[in-house]
Amino acid sequence: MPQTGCKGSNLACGAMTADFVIVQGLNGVAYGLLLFLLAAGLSLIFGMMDVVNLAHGSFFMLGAYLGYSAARASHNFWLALIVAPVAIGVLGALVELGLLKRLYHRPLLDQVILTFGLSFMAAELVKIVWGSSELVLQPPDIFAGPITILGDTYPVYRLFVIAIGLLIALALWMVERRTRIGAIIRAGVADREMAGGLGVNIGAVFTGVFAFGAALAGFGGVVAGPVLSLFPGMDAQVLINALIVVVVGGMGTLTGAFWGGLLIGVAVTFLTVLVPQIALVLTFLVMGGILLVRPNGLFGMKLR
Amino acid sequence: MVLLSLNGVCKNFAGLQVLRDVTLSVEPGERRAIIGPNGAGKTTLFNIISGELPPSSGNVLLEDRDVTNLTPERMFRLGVARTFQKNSLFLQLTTEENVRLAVQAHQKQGHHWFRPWWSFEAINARTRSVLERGGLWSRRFEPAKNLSYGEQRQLEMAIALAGEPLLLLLDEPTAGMSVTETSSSVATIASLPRSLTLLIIEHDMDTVFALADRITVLDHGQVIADGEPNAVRNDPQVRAVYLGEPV
Amino acid sequence: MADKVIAIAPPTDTAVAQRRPTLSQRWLTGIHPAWLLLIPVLAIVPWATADVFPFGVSLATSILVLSIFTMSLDLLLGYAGLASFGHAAFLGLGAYSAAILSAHLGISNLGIALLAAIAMASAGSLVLGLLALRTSGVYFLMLTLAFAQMLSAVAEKWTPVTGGTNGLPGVKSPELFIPGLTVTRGIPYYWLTLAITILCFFLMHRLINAPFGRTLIGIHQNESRMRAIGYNTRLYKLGAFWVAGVFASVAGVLYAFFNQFISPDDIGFTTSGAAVLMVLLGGEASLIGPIVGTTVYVVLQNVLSSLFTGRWQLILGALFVIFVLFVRGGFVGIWRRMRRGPA
Repeated sequence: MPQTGCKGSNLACGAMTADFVIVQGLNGVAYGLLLFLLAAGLSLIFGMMDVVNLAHGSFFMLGAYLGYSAARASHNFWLALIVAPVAIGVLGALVELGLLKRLYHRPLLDQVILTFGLSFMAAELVKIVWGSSELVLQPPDIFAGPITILGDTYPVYRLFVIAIGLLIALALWMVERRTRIGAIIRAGVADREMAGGLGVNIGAVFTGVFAFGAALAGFGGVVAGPVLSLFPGMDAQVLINALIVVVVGGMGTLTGAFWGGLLIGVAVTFLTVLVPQIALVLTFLVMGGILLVRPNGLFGMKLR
Repeated sequence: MVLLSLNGVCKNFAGLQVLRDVTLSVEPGERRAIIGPNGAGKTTLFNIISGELPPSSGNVLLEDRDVTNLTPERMFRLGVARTFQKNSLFLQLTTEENVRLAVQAHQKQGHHWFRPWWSFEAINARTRSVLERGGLWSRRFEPAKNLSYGEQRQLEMAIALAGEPLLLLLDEPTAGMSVTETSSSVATIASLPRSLTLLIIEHDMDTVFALADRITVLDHGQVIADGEPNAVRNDPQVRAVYLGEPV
Repeated sequence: MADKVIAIAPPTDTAVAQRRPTLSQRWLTGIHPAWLLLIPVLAIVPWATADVFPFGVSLATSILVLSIFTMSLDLLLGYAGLASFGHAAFLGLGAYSAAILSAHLGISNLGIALLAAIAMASAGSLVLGLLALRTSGVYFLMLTLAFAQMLSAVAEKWTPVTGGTNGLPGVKSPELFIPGLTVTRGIPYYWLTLAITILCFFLMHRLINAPFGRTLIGIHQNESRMRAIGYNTRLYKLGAFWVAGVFASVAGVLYAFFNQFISPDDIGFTTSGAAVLMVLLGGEASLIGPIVGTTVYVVLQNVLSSLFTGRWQLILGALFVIFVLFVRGGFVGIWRRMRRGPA
């Protein structure tokens, strides 16, 4: 995330001024909400299905690239925002039905290797189809410009990212708490066999959860396009941060993904700006510190 | 001196009182059976003694030492071993390897990293004697998952015995066994030396009367009888609980 | 993993009998002496065929170096049951130690490089172990992964020391014992690597057959029972972590001197994942397995990248997928199943 004007070490520029904090804070929240979109799917997929989806970053990346192509072809960002996630969701469903389903009774490592292999393939595919150079996804015209906050200019699009992130979070929260599907998913996370015993078609729910998680990641990819740039290594970068969010927030909980996302998003953003060399090291230490106190993450339930 | 004493032990689980004011004492070398209907709290009692659970109130003394809140590992090192209702073996390893791991732990030889495992004579000797005593010597090369259920229960006990405990808690040792397996098991238990004290939870009354020196009866978390087998057999309260006779 | 018997065949009855073990059993701990014949073969063949097959020496060296790495991972994965997805971090600690000493400080002494690598790996494994071993399963996996990525990021960003994203070139050939006794590229380096690999294999083989190794296997099988019978399982797992990290860092030193270059790409997520695959490919819970797996993988990678330049990762990824779906227990697993006959 680009910084405000000061050259050299930001600390030397008296960085902790109010507008610096606000600008980076907004950046952090935006990034954090993007991480939430990824972490929500990852966390649910693990909580429900005991699957660590190392291909989740690939869904994000493919969403971004598909969105790029769709937006360029149709000159319509909004269309891309709908088409790409749907396509990724379908891809997710196919992966789950065709490949993942066979591995549920196998040890954890087998699924990890499978999704890892898929991520390998996805990364290469992207290079083949779209090339290795960095691409930029243009934001929609209404949000393309800057807005002035407290004397600083700030890209409007990032506010849009925040808004849409919060909207999705709210929608997911309502679905989880207030609808039958949400209850089924919560039950499945808590005790898969019991939920199956209650007559729910667990297989279909799994496919649905996986596909939805993938679609959410793909959606995140399109939304993130104008903010981060598109390049073949973006899946690994974002996956690591998303995994940290899931570990910190706790497995299988949307609340954890949300607050964890915000925490890590803000932390990573500030650290990258202030102390870029050791930003990731410090993030790791933050994660370590949290795990020392709460080994199941902030909101995690005890592992089965 | 008494080996084990429980004083006023109570246990609540979120409002449900599982054990009420349980007081008992066990002499060294004694064979004490703990009996009672299902849900009487027998396994919970074992969990408290071996350290898996802390009591809500009351204490547990091993000889004159307060062991109420010690962890299962600590208790094991102090000489309190137990078997579980559900087998917890090393299924992929052979019978001999199962016992060997326990002997190795007891002799504190786990840290050696260069000498091969079969060069430790003391471990070899002890493993052999435990296997022979448990009647498992002939099955020593068999992976534990291939043993019959009765043999697996024997192995459970062998692993517990490998640590040369003072007190052994046997949780339903003959559950699920056939008649021949049961009598073989009873014979093995009966042949254990009196340097070892036994606490046995059992449902099979023949086993209880064959082995026990004293019997403690639990019902709804309370001790309703405690004494010699014949006295307990004729105790009216016990008869009421088991046979539904009016008191 | 369910149908694998991890137990090694006990050397007939010496297990609990009082017979003196034979010389070969004492020194080779069960490895058949015939295998020793392999050593001169491995030493001579690449040298003899160097004219016909010049690429062979280089290929063999990289296979050996990576084998040390994957065998060390198998200690964690197959024996102790710790699925670490960040093992490349230790490869990196070793490699960068050697590279920095050689390229920046002009110290190319192998002994010093190894000491530095082991020191770094010890520190790293202690930190990671104390943190990650409080968790299990998925959390553990993610923590190890995050740790490796973190070190990779440090390598990327700390340009003055590590050369940044472009890596650190200029690693000289290593010196043995006295300055000036340089081990040059090609055959001499191959022989050095062969010697170190054999030593590492021997040490790891001893470890696995010693009480420590058996304890790790027990922890893998049933940790709560191990705790119940009195083992401090956390300490053993930490020990396994340390040993694996140290061997991986040794591989790292050899790797840096071999390529005379190291970059953050070499120590990232992909390397860790590929290492896990190599172990599974060959068969976990054996030392031969990782060697076989590494050989297959490296050969395949070389073949594919020359046949399908640019596309080979796609095929490799597909192979991962197919392999996981259809082959269980790796090549060693297949061999074991064949030995046992129709089940």
